[in-house]
Amino acid sequence: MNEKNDLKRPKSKAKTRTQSEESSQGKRPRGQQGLSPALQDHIGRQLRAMFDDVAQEPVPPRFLQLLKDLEQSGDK
Amino acid sequence: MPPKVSANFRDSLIKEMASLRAFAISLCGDRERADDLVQETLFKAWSHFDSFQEGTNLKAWLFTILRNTYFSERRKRKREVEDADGKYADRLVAPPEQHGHMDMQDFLKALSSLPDDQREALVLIGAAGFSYEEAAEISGCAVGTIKSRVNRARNRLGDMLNLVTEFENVDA
Repeated sequence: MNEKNDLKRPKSKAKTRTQSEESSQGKRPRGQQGLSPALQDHIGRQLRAMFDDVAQEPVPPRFLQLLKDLEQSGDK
Repeated sequence: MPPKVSANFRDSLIKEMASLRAFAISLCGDRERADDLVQETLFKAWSHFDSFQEGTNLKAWLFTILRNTYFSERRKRKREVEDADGKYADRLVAPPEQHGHMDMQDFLKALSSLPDDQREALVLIGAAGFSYEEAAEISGCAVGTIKSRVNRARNRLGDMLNLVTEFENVDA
């Protein structure tokens, strides 16, 4: 894909500016990363909420059981 | 026979289980498969205890094992894994009483439609709290690549979420 071009992006400021100018002709204001700050915040909050919700769930007992089993067979 | 590991190592594995699981679920969108992935990761980590250097970043090491396991498995069964639109989100959904907003549904659907590498980068940086350097090491690519993946992921999500909002306004 065009990842190689993307790597050069920080150096070619002019190009980045042109791109954001193009997109700012769209209907919403775009911030530094191409998104309005409000939308960026929203995405950040949703991401963390999704992740933290899961991370706060108790882990399945089989995880701990696995470690117990491994520990026991290592002791033998 | 599995090696004898230090109590310290075992305790650290236990400590990281929950966030490993959150990462697995965000990556593959399937709770059952995610739990299998974590199980496999724990097993591999334990078996390769020798190759972990005490004092280095265990969390990053575990995340690396998990994502490598996920991607190599995914390559193996590519056809099976081809996911129909929205299926990911349907399976990922948390119990509705936890966050019964359409908001989160839309978000998950949008997240699921991102290319794998972009979703991975976004979750590592935006949710799991890794630095760009750590995320690059975990994903085995350059820091600049991670940055551009995160940017593209954000832009894409932004476009999709905006669209959803616009549609909702039309319907209402």
